[in-house]
Amino acid sequence: MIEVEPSPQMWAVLLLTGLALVGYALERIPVELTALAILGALLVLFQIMPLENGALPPEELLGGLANPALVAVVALLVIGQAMVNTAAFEGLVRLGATLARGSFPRALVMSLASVTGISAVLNNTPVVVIFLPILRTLAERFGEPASMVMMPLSFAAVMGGMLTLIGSSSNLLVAGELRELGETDLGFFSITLPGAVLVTAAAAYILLVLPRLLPRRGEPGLAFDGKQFIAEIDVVEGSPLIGETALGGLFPSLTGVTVRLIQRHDRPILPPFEDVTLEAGDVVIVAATRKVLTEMLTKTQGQVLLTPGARAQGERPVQRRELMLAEAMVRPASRMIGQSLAFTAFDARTGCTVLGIQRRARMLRTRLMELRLEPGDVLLLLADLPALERLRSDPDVLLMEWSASEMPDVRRGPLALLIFAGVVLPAALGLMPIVITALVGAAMMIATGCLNVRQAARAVDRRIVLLIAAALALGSALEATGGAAWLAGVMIDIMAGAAPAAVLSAFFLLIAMLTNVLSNNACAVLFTPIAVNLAGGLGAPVFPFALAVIFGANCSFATPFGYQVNLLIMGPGQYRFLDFVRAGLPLILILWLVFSAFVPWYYGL
Amino acid sequence: MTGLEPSLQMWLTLALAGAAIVAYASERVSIELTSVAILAALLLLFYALPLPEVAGRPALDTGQLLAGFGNPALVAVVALLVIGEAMVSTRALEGVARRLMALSGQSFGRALGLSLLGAAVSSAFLNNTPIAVIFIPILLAIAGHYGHSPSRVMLPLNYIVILGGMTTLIGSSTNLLVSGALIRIDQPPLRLFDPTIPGLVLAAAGIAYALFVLPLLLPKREARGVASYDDGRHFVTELDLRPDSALVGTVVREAGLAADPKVRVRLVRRGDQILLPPFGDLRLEAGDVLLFNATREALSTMLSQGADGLGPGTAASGERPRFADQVLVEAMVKPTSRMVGSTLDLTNFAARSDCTVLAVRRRARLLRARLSELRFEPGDVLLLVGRSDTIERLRADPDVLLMEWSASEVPDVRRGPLALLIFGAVVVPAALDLVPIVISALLGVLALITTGCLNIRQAIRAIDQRIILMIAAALALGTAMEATGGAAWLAAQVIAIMAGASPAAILSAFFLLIAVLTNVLSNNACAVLFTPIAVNLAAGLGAPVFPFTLAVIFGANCSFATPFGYQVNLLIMGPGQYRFVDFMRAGVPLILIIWLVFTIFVPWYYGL
Repeated sequence: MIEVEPSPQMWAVLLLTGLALVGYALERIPVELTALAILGALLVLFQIMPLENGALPPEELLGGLANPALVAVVALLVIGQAMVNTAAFEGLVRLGATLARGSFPRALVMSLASVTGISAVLNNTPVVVIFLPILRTLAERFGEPASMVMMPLSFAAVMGGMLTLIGSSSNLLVAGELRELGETDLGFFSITLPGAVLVTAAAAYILLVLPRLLPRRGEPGLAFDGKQFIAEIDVVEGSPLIGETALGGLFPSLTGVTVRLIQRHDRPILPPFEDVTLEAGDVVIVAATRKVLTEMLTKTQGQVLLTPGARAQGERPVQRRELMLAEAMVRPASRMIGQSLAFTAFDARTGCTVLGIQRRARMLRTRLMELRLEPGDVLLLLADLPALERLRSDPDVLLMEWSASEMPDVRRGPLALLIFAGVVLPAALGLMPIVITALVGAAMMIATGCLNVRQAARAVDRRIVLLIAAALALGSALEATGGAAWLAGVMIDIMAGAAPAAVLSAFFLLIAMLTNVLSNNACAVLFTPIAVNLAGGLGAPVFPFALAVIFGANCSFATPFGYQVNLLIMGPGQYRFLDFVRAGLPLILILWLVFSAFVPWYYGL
Repeated sequence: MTGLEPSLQMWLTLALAGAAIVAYASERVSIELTSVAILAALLLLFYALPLPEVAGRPALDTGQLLAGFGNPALVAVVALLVIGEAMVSTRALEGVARRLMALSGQSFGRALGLSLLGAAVSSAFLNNTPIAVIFIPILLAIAGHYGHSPSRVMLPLNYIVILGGMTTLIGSSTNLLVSGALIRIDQPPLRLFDPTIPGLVLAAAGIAYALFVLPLLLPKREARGVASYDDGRHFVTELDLRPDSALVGTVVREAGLAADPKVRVRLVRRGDQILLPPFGDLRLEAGDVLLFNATREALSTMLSQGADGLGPGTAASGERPRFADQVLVEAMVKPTSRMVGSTLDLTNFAARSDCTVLAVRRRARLLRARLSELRFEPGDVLLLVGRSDTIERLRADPDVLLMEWSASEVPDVRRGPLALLIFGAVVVPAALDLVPIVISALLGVLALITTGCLNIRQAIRAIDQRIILMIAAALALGTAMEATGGAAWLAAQVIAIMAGASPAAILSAFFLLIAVLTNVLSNNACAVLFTPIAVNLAAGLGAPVFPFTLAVIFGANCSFATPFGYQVNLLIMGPGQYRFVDFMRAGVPLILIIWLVFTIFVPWYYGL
């Protein structure tokens, strides 16, 4: 075994690691600042007191920013955003929801079981990439915040990696390392039985305990108030609404909206609508929330014409690129007051299409374009970004900027799905590194308009970039200064003379803790030779100790930077650092207990 | 010289480099997309067609191609952009700028000339990047003061700093690298003033271009930020004169307030007496209330300087709240607002919203009432100050409509001296080469944020994703061109074509080749690559080595035509609001001028 002489640099790095974990967990100062401080401290440390072998120049410490794993995470976040934008998984989710017969827990269990099963034979990261948008949509469908499903997803994928030798890259590294040391070859299913025991324990925890520990963040949808807009639907030739009959006063296709009036030629039909059948040429005046209107606009792909403005312009607005929805208020001194939309030619003047109108307290039963505007009316607008920006200086309406949101572009869904498959499949099958396919995929998503540069930039979480850069720098420093090996040496010294089972248990715990700070690949490489030596010294079989390395190195549940998939879910789940500690630490302890009880007994240690 | 066999990868890399330049210059697709596409193409290329392994390792793997993201030069640029933002927002270098302007007799041309001269001289002996970092905020302030667009001063500064760096051995890291490369191939190194005479000739020609021709070529772009929505309309507000106010005892006409063209004093309220203009020799007394019109910009400046007693909100509370770090935003009274017909005091708006009302704007009407007693009308616009989270809560307010895009931070001038101190600690050690600039810059960012000179939001805003992606892509391209031998092959082609020409002609062609390539490769790569070629070339021609060394030094410094050619170019890109094509439009003529002067002067001077 390598004896490590503790150096001042090593002490400094160990101290810094401790401070970093405390700093992240307390979040008294922002994560960005803590990460920056760690980077700065390491740079200064190795500038003033360089290591003897000249390791760790600034390039190496900053190398974390260029780490392929980080680049891959960033590219995958962009791709995930594109999948959400284009609602590409909507069909799949609907199928899943049907299969689960509308029960959220059942849908969740089904998805997590598939995640674990698939990640047993494929790389963890692509599996999480696939299921992330699916679970996000699923949660939204059942009105659950994303934070309730993201951490279970990550944990399920990592646990699945413990089932077979190819389930995780660190398993393969341990096997490779063992082969080089002239120890036993691990077979494909060598680790499956103890792995399955651990997975069972973890599954119980994930399904029963974890939901209580998770924060409810990232409530679905934007916090628009539920105020209703008046909008109108044109029943044109070929519209799916033709021939629809009201049942009990409600039209089956128009869920979530209140029909206020049907204008048939010059004759208004007022509610209640008993036995009214829609005909071509009808105009249906409805009241609906913005969310419902948005959904109608995207899901029906323009089959249900929703806009008087579109009629005026003679085009279907959904076909234009990068449309945004926004709200604007008619100003008190506006020239539009008392005029109708048709008269003021608002659409033509501003390039914004009016989708609906919101007015305090008053019931509207007029055609939208003929309504006389009052000060304080709020218009729901559909426009592209330049038109909205021009609207800022409009003297007649006041743009309510925060209300602007992008329209999901469902037409590009199939295209996005194709690109997605091109990213995930080669990576899952190990044909190409995921960083390459992800970067190519992100470029394709932007180039084909599945998302724009602004949305892509927003999908990249700067906290993740800084967190991982600082964590990688800290990890390299821990390795280069021998801090990790020294810790292992100390642990083994303390445990000298104890029973092999106790040594095994302590060894597992040490790895399971360190893997949250080091990368799991670094852990695998570092601890495999130690495991072999340890078993040799104790006269015990090597295999249980190899298992401790494999399972321990996979236990990166308690920090966001412990594992690539944790980083992927951090943004969508709106997690903080402490959430990982709170949810992951109990899981590590459970796995440790189960490992300590089962493995020595099963292998007769 | 190594005879290079062109490989398929080399052709593809060269083609990609050409396509990249065209795509960046045309800007038909966004810079971000172009950069990501280049990176993706390179990754795919070298994954599908790996280069032959060197010493058991693949010559160009994914990690190396992506290494640009972690390049210390990139990290330094990002950190320096953040530091620059802090200097602008705390206005820490405003004092220096003001002194410069006073020195130059309040003439823009002279002030510009003076600062550029300072930049040129100091960059001859110090590292270029810290010099640019110092002069960027100073020139921004000067340009802002005279109402000129920053785009008119940033590129001249950039070019002059680089040209100044050509004049001594230590003026630029490139020069030192060439000298280092000479030592490595057993040639005598350069001395401090070796490049000075030809360098001064080239710099003189370049500076003449930068001062007299360049301004005609540069676009006039708006400074970012306030200008787009601040339409210069006046808000009405009032100022309570406290006994310790600096204005007490001054004549209204001469008071600092009235001297500002953006401020107009409308009346002075003294007890129950209302004094109207013209004020004559009226002296202000403690307890007076000044009612005045001011633009938002002027109010923002007043706020940042302390603003005791400014606005109805602060006057009423009698406190002296700190506005630094807070957000200035406009909000309109809604037609359906409960505030209509009521006054500020009655509605208790300040307490309810946790924002301070600073001023009011009303269409067309003159306001003479005390602001706290003003009855609101629908459409009145309030200028509010508050913390960003309380401002955000106003979105849901039923009474006022937040005009969100109008939000801007109140600059924190009180932290100016502190920011200046940190700035000095970043720039001085870097300029003297005591510490790598990436380390001092990162620590500087850390210090600025922890001391509150800048908040994280502002820091993030200062970082330009285009710059990050562009550098990463350019570095990957440069790495690929080196690894595939593309650059060396181009050099060999030029030399083969020029075979048999006079040494002066070869020298000229050699210079042009380097000057063009340095815009795509890093200066470092150029210096290392071309120094041995220069020595070989001179030996082959039986000519002295020195002129060829000079061609490498000056050629490698000619990174004027792309933003990623040189660190300083990247630093000025954001503040100057430049596009890629602006660099080409301004830089290509400069390269040609320097080439012509070099071709005429150096062979004549060294008797080639």
